[in-house]
Amino acid sequence: MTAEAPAIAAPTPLWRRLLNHRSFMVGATLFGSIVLMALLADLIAPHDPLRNNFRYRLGAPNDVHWLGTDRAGRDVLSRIVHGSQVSLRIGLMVVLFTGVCGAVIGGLAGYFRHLDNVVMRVMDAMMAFPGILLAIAIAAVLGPSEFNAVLALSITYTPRTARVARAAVLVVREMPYVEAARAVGAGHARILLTHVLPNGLTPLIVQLSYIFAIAILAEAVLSFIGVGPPPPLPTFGNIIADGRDFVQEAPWICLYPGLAIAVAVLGLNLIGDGLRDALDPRMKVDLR
Amino acid sequence: MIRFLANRLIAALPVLFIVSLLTFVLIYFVPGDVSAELAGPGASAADIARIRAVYGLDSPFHERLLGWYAALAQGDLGQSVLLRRSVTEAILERLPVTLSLTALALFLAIAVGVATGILAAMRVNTWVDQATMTVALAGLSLPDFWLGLVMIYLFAVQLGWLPTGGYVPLTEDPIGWLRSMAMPALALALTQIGLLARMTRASMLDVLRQDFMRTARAKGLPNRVVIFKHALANVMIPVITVVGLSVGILLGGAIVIEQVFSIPGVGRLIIGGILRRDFPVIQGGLLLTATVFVLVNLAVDILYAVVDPRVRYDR
Repeated sequence: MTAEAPAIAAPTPLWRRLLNHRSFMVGATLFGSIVLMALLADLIAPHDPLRNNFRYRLGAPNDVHWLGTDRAGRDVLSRIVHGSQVSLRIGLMVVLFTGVCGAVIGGLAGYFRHLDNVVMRVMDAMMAFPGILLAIAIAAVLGPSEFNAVLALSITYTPRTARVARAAVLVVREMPYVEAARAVGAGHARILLTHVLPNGLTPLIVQLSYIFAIAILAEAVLSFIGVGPPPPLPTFGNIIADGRDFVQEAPWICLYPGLAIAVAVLGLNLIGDGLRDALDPRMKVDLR
Repeated sequence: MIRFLANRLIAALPVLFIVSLLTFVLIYFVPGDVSAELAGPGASAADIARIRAVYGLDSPFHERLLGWYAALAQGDLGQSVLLRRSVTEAILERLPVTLSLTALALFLAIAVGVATGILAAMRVNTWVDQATMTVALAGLSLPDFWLGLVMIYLFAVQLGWLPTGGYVPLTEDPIGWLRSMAMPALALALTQIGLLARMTRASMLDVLRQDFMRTARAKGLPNRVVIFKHALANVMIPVITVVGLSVGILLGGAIVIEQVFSIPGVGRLIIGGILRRDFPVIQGGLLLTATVFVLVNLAVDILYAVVDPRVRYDR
């Protein structure tokens, strides 16, 4: 920490800036409600999400089945509640994988300049494929499973994270404290871990909150196409896929899981905007 | 300018080369025996061996790679296993469908997105700004394929205004084409409308702060001239970059949306190929979409240099 002139007030702590940020709080509430739903799934789901009941197939929403039933008579609400577990788990895993891989690849490319050209050209080439198509192709080639969906989405979105990490490292590596560390004889590993990583982390965290949102949307597409985690395990995407042939007679099967996705993704996008404003006030656009 | 063009072209080549290499490698490392899968469940060992030889699957890595490039040089993407015809032909036949859908969605996204963004920036921190940005963020958060299904239910099933799906070629019946494309294009565009509106607003606010804007106002120019002549050209520079990226997202989205609306485009071909593990079709589809993306972004780079002469000298 550098010494500050007494005239400058101490900066508002991060958590206070976030609490005061209206859209961050709205986002946290929206996303938090989905997370809570996933954590408490076993307690709050009114029915068994996997139990068929052919007497009540395609049942409209009523007192027993609040959001109706699907083509096998399974309770849609319970499937959404349990599906949130799988969808959020996939999103979280993708965030962890792309975060670590992106930080390593982008960090090395930004720090060791001779690696930069080759590594970033490969990242450019990967980003030339439409993201969702590349994810579908990889997931299909590997075979449908939850882990393969995570792998496909992580491979697809790592270049985006790597790019952000590289840009951050390019700024940090020129900072006087990095030069100072080098001057006192710190090795590359020490400089990267104790100086570059913590100082370059901000844009990466913002990017990862958007990646979480994108991963939830993309998982829904994978499941919709039929290359996501295989049924009967519910995910937001495969509940919609299950209902698409019955849009006419049972629109509730498609409608509600889509709304759940929208709430989760909107929440994450708002959280991302809030983090961006709070972590880096210079990026905030404000004209009054 | 010529030097700038040449530089951009040369920079695009390695990316295209790596794209083609990745496309090949993805399929080369498919787990399991591809030829056994191609032959089907009841095939004998001899059948499998024959298929392996026909598709060149028994050759070593470097020979298959060379074969891939030799064929690519002639525009040959191989034979589709399921369609029993050339992948290049099958793709080219369907390309106009997908490109017209993508183009319509792109037009919608730019027209609505940019206009909304400018409007929000000019009314910054008013209810107009907050309302449009809330809608933009909501649009950004909705899954496009789900929106397509909701639209089918509303406009086709309930109101009966539009067909639930299918495709009418533009050249045969322009009105029919628009009717069949309206819902898919709108579902596809909504995400990008949100993205472009947010980008345009941020870019516009940035420009409004600049000194030359104050100068323009100070010398008494009417607001219309200040906004449309002085601000807009500068606003468009970052927006054009985002449009280039949007093309890739729209192209990928179109592939999924075609499933929802039963549109016989490249997307249906590729997804069909992916689900039935028709590898030449997957390779062709990946290579084609990535190439379109690289070329579009090359065009964007050139456009960039036209709009902003400074870019030409920077590199």
